[in-house]
Amino acid sequence: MKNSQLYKGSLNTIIMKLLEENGRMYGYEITQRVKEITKGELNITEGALYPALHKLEAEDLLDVEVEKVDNRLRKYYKLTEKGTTETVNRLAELEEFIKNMQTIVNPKLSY
Amino acid sequence: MNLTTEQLDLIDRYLEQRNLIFLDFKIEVKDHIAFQIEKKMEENENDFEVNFNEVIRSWEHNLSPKYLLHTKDVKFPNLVVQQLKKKATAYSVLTLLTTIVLTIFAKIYFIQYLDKNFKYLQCLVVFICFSYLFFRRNIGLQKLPTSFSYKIDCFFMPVLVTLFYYFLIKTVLKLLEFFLDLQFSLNFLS
Repeated sequence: MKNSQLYKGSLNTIIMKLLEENGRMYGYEITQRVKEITKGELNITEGALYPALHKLEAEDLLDVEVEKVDNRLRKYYKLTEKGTTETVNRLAELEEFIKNMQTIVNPKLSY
Repeated sequence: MNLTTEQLDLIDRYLEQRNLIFLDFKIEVKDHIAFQIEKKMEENENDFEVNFNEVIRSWEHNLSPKYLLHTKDVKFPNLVVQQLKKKATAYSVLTLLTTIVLTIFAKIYFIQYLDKNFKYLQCLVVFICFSYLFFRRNIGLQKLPTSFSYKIDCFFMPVLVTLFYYFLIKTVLKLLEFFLDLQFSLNFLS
Protein backbone atom coordinates (compact mmCIF):
# COMPACT_ATOMS: atom_id res chain seq x y z
CA MET A 1 0.00 0.00 0.00
CA LYS A 2 1.62 3.21 -1.15
CA ASN A 3 -0.47 5.62 0.93
CA SER A 4 0.36 4.89 4.56
CA GLN A 5 -2.01 7.66 5.72
CA LEU A 6 -4.92 5.32 4.93
CA TYR A 7 -4.11 2.80 7.67
CA LYS A 8 -2.72 5.18 10.30
CA GLY A 9 -6.08 5.72 12.00
CA SER A 10 -6.54 1.96 12.31
CA LEU A 11 -3.02 1.07 13.42
CA ASN A 12 -3.92 0.69 17.11
CA THR A 13 -6.83 -1.59 16.24
CA ILE A 14 -4.63 -3.68 13.94
CA ILE A 15 -2.08 -4.14 16.75
CA MET A 16 -4.77 -5.03 19.30
CA LYS A 17 -6.40 -7.52 16.92
CA LEU A 18 -3.06 -9.28 16.32
CA LEU A 19 -2.37 -9.46 20.05
CA GLU A 20 -5.84 -10.85 20.65
CA GLU A 21 -5.11 -13.65 18.16
CA ASN A 22 -1.51 -14.38 19.12
CA GLY A 23 -1.42 -13.76 22.86
CA ARG A 24 1.86 -11.87 23.08
CA MET A 25 4.10 -10.40 20.41
CA TYR A 26 7.19 -8.19 20.02
CA GLY A 27 7.58 -5.22 17.69
CA TYR A 28 9.43 -6.88 14.81
CA GLU A 29 7.03 -9.84 14.93
CA ILE A 30 4.05 -7.49 14.53
CA THR A 31 5.53 -5.82 11.43
CA GLN A 32 6.33 -9.21 9.86
CA ARG A 33 2.91 -10.69 10.68
CA VAL A 34 1.12 -7.74 9.07
CA LYS A 35 3.36 -8.03 6.01
CA GLU A 36 2.64 -11.77 5.81
CA ILE A 37 -1.15 -11.46 6.20
CA THR A 38 -1.40 -8.67 3.61
CA LYS A 39 1.12 -10.38 1.27
CA GLY A 40 3.48 -7.41 1.51
CA GLU A 41 0.81 -4.78 0.74
CA LEU A 42 0.84 -3.22 4.21
CA ASN A 43 4.17 -2.21 5.63
CA ILE A 44 4.06 -0.85 9.17
CA THR A 45 7.01 1.45 9.73
CA GLU A 46 9.03 1.42 12.94
CA GLY A 47 8.38 5.15 13.32
CA ALA A 48 4.64 4.49 13.55
CA LEU A 49 4.66 1.14 15.36
CA TYR A 50 6.65 1.92 18.51
CA PRO A 51 4.91 5.21 19.41
CA ALA A 52 1.57 3.39 18.93
CA LEU A 53 2.65 0.52 21.21
CA HIS A 54 3.87 2.95 23.89
CA LYS A 55 0.62 4.91 23.70
CA LEU A 56 -1.46 1.75 24.18
CA GLU A 57 0.80 0.75 27.08
CA ALA A 58 0.35 4.17 28.71
CA GLU A 59 -3.44 3.80 28.33
CA ASP A 60 -3.24 0.48 30.26
CA LEU A 61 -4.50 -1.43 27.24
CA LEU A 62 -1.23 -3.37 26.87
CA ASP A 63 1.01 -5.05 29.38
CA VAL A 64 4.74 -5.60 28.91
CA GLU A 65 7.01 -8.56 29.62
CA VAL A 66 10.77 -8.36 29.09
CA GLU A 67 12.69 -11.59 28.52
CA LYS A 68 16.23 -12.47 27.55
CA VAL A 69 16.20 -14.33 24.22
CA ASP A 70 19.20 -15.02 21.95
CA ASN A 71 21.56 -12.99 24.14
CA ARG A 72 19.40 -9.88 24.04
CA LEU A 73 16.39 -8.43 25.83
CA ARG A 74 13.05 -8.70 24.07
CA LYS A 75 9.97 -6.69 24.96
CA TYR A 76 6.71 -8.62 24.55
CA TYR A 77 3.33 -6.93 24.48
CA LYS A 78 0.04 -8.52 25.49
CA LEU A 79 -3.49 -7.24 26.03
CA THR A 80 -4.64 -6.33 29.53
CA GLU A 81 -8.16 -7.13 30.66
CA LYS A 82 -9.16 -3.57 29.78
CA GLY A 83 -7.37 -3.97 26.42
CA THR A 84 -9.31 -7.16 25.59
CA THR A 85 -12.64 -5.40 26.15
CA GLU A 86 -11.46 -2.36 24.22
CA THR A 87 -10.38 -4.54 21.27
CA VAL A 88 -13.94 -5.78 20.82
CA ASN A 89 -15.25 -2.20 20.78
CA ARG A 90 -12.58 -0.93 18.41
CA LEU A 91 -13.04 -3.84 16.00
CA ALA A 92 -16.78 -3.16 15.89
CA GLU A 93 -16.02 0.52 15.16
CA LEU A 94 -13.55 -0.42 12.44
CA GLU A 95 -15.99 -2.84 10.80
CA GLU A 96 -18.64 -0.12 10.80
CA PHE A 97 -16.15 2.30 9.27
CA ILE A 98 -15.16 -0.19 6.54
CA LYS A 99 -18.85 -0.80 5.76
CA ASN A 100 -19.42 2.95 5.41
CA MET A 101 -16.36 3.32 3.21
CA GLN A 102 -17.61 0.54 0.96
CA THR A 103 -20.97 2.28 0.67
CA ILE A 104 -19.24 5.50 -0.37
CA VAL A 105 -16.70 3.94 -2.73
CA ASN A 106 -18.98 1.33 -4.26
CA PRO A 107 -22.66 2.22 -3.65
CA LYS A 108 -23.97 -0.65 -5.81
CA LEU A 109 -22.59 -3.26 -3.38
CA SER A 110 -24.54 -1.80 -0.49
CA TYR A 111 -27.93 -2.65 -2.08
CA MET B 1 21.59 -17.21 12.28
CA ASN B 2 21.87 -15.51 15.69
CA LEU B 3 24.16 -12.52 16.19
CA THR B 4 27.12 -12.87 18.52
CA THR B 5 27.55 -10.85 21.72
CA GLU B 6 30.20 -8.69 20.00
CA GLN B 7 27.84 -7.93 17.11
CA LEU B 8 25.03 -7.07 19.53
CA ASP B 9 27.45 -4.79 21.43
CA LEU B 10 28.15 -2.99 18.17
CA ILE B 11 24.41 -2.27 17.75
CA ASP B 12 24.36 -1.10 21.38
CA ARG B 13 27.24 1.29 20.81
CA TYR B 14 25.60 2.66 17.66
CA LEU B 15 22.35 3.37 19.57
CA GLU B 16 24.20 5.01 22.45
CA GLN B 17 26.10 7.12 19.94
CA ARG B 18 22.68 8.22 18.64
CA ASN B 19 21.76 9.08 22.26
CA LEU B 20 19.04 6.42 22.41
CA ILE B 21 19.39 6.08 26.16
CA PHE B 22 15.74 5.42 27.00
CA LEU B 23 15.09 1.87 28.13
CA ASP B 24 11.69 1.54 26.45
CA PHE B 25 13.04 2.45 23.04
CA LYS B 26 16.50 0.98 23.31
CA ILE B 27 15.49 -2.63 24.05
CA GLU B 28 13.03 -2.69 21.18
CA VAL B 29 15.10 -0.89 18.58
CA LYS B 30 18.14 -3.08 19.33
CA ASP B 31 16.06 -6.26 19.03
CA HIS B 32 14.40 -4.99 15.84
CA ILE B 33 17.72 -4.08 14.20
CA ALA B 34 19.23 -7.43 15.26
CA PHE B 35 16.30 -9.28 13.65
CA GLN B 36 16.63 -7.28 10.43
CA ILE B 37 20.36 -8.01 10.21
CA GLU B 38 19.84 -11.72 10.94
CA LYS B 39 17.19 -11.94 8.23
CA LYS B 40 19.42 -10.17 5.71
CA MET B 41 22.36 -12.42 6.61
CA GLU B 42 20.20 -15.47 5.87
CA GLU B 43 18.89 -14.02 2.59
CA ASN B 44 22.00 -12.33 1.18
CA GLU B 45 24.76 -14.33 2.84
CA ASN B 46 26.75 -11.12 3.18
CA ASP B 47 28.88 -10.54 6.23
CA PHE B 48 27.67 -8.69 9.31
CA GLU B 49 29.21 -5.27 8.47
CA VAL B 50 27.53 -5.02 5.04
CA ASN B 51 24.10 -5.95 6.41
CA PHE B 52 24.56 -3.78 9.51
CA ASN B 53 25.27 -0.71 7.37
CA GLU B 54 22.31 -1.45 5.12
CA VAL B 55 19.89 -1.81 8.05
CA ILE B 56 21.25 1.29 9.79
CA ARG B 57 20.59 3.32 6.64
CA SER B 58 16.89 2.37 6.82
CA TRP B 59 16.78 3.68 10.42
CA GLU B 60 18.49 6.96 9.54
CA HIS B 61 15.30 9.05 9.59
CA ASN B 62 14.02 7.61 12.89
CA LEU B 63 17.37 7.88 14.65
CA SER B 64 18.55 11.23 13.27
CA PRO B 65 19.35 13.59 16.17
CA LYS B 66 16.77 16.29 16.96
CA TYR B 67 16.46 18.92 19.67
CA LEU B 68 13.69 18.98 22.22
CA LEU B 69 12.38 22.47 22.99
CA HIS B 70 13.56 22.48 26.59
CA THR B 71 16.82 20.57 26.08
CA LYS B 72 18.68 22.79 23.68
CA ASP B 73 22.00 21.36 24.76
CA VAL B 74 21.10 17.67 24.17
CA LYS B 75 19.87 15.93 21.03
CA PHE B 76 17.73 12.79 21.02
CA PRO B 77 16.70 10.51 18.13
CA ASN B 78 13.79 11.69 16.00
CA LEU B 79 11.67 8.67 17.01
CA VAL B 80 11.89 9.69 20.67
CA VAL B 81 11.50 13.43 20.08
CA GLN B 82 8.32 13.04 17.99
CA GLN B 83 6.67 10.93 20.70
CA LEU B 84 7.73 13.28 23.49
CA LYS B 85 6.49 16.33 21.60
CA LYS B 86 3.04 14.79 21.06
CA LYS B 87 2.68 14.02 24.76
CA ALA B 88 4.12 17.36 25.84
CA THR B 89 1.69 19.23 23.54
CA ALA B 90 -1.31 17.34 24.95
CA TYR B 91 -0.17 18.09 28.49
CA SER B 92 0.51 21.77 27.67
CA VAL B 93 -3.01 22.23 26.27
CA LEU B 94 -4.52 20.59 29.37
CA THR B 95 -2.43 22.77 31.67
CA LEU B 96 -3.30 25.93 29.73
CA LEU B 97 -7.04 25.21 29.89
CA THR B 98 -6.89 24.41 33.63
CA THR B 99 -4.93 27.57 34.31
CA ILE B 100 -7.38 29.72 32.30
CA VAL B 101 -10.39 28.23 34.08
CA LEU B 102 -8.85 28.66 37.54
CA THR B 103 -7.71 32.21 36.77
CA ILE B 104 -11.17 33.25 35.54
CA PHE B 105 -12.83 31.51 38.49
CA ALA B 106 -10.54 33.25 40.95
CA LYS B 107 -10.96 36.59 39.18
CA ILE B 108 -14.76 36.47 39.27
CA TYR B 109 -15.60 34.87 42.61
CA PHE B 110 -12.71 34.66 44.99
CA ILE B 111 -10.40 37.49 44.22
CA GLN B 112 -11.41 39.59 47.24
CA TYR B 113 -11.41 36.61 49.56
CA LEU B 114 -8.01 35.48 48.30
CA ASP B 115 -6.57 38.99 48.58
CA LYS B 116 -7.66 39.17 52.20
CA ASN B 117 -6.81 35.66 53.36
CA PHE B 118 -4.08 34.23 51.17
CA LYS B 119 -0.98 35.47 49.55
CA TYR B 120 -0.87 35.08 45.80
CA LEU B 121 2.26 32.96 45.88
CA GLN B 122 0.84 30.51 48.40
CA CYS B 123 -2.08 29.77 46.06
CA LEU B 124 0.29 29.34 43.16
CA VAL B 125 2.49 26.86 45.03
CA VAL B 126 -0.54 24.76 46.04
CA PHE B 127 -1.78 24.71 42.46
CA ILE B 128 1.61 23.68 41.11
CA CYS B 129 1.93 20.88 43.66
CA PHE B 130 -1.50 19.51 42.75
CA SER B 131 -0.68 19.76 39.07
CA TYR B 132 2.59 17.90 39.52
CA LEU B 133 1.03 15.17 41.68
CA PHE B 134 -1.79 14.71 39.16
CA PHE B 135 0.71 14.40 36.36
CA ARG B 136 2.95 11.91 38.20
CA ARG B 137 -0.05 9.80 39.17
CA ASN B 138 -1.40 9.56 35.65
CA ILE B 139 1.64 9.36 33.46
CA GLY B 140 4.82 9.15 35.49
CA LEU B 141 4.25 5.96 37.43
CA GLN B 142 4.60 3.19 34.89
CA LYS B 143 5.99 -0.32 35.25
CA LEU B 144 9.01 0.39 33.08
CA PRO B 145 10.90 3.69 33.00
CA THR B 146 9.67 5.13 29.71
CA SER B 147 11.25 8.04 27.89
CA PHE B 148 8.36 10.30 28.83
CA SER B 149 8.40 9.73 32.60
CA TYR B 150 12.18 9.96 32.51
CA LYS B 151 12.07 13.37 30.86
CA ILE B 152 9.42 14.63 33.27
CA ASP B 153 11.45 13.57 36.29
CA CYS B 154 14.50 15.27 34.84
CA PHE B 155 13.07 18.60 33.79
CA PHE B 156 10.01 19.16 36.02
CA MET B 157 8.20 20.20 32.90
CA PRO B 158 4.73 20.40 34.45
CA VAL B 159 5.93 22.91 37.00
CA LEU B 160 7.62 25.02 34.35
CA VAL B 161 4.66 24.90 31.97
CA THR B 162 2.19 25.78 34.73
CA LEU B 163 4.33 28.65 35.96
CA PHE B 164 4.75 29.97 32.45
CA TYR B 165 1.03 29.92 31.66
CA TYR B 166 -0.01 31.32 35.02
CA PHE B 167 2.29 34.31 34.78
CA LEU B 168 1.46 34.82 31.11
CA ILE B 169 -2.28 34.98 31.83
CA LYS B 170 -1.71 37.14 34.91
CA THR B 171 0.37 39.57 32.84
CA VAL B 172 -2.23 39.71 30.04
CA LEU B 173 -4.98 40.42 32.58
CA LYS B 174 -2.92 43.17 34.22
CA LEU B 175 -2.24 44.76 30.82
CA LEU B 176 -5.94 44.59 29.93
CA GLU B 177 -6.85 46.25 33.22
CA PHE B 178 -4.27 48.95 32.55
CA PHE B 179 -5.60 49.70 29.05
CA LEU B 180 -9.21 49.69 30.23
CA ASP B 181 -8.33 52.15 33.02
CA LEU B 182 -6.45 54.29 30.54
CA GLN B 183 -9.40 54.32 28.14
CA PHE B 184 -11.77 55.19 30.98
CA SER B 185 -9.50 58.07 32.10
CA LEU B 186 -9.24 59.43 28.57
CA ASN B 187 -13.02 59.25 28.13
CA PHE B 188 -13.50 61.00 31.47
CA LEU B 189 -11.08 63.79 30.51
CA SER B 190 -12.65 64.35 27.12
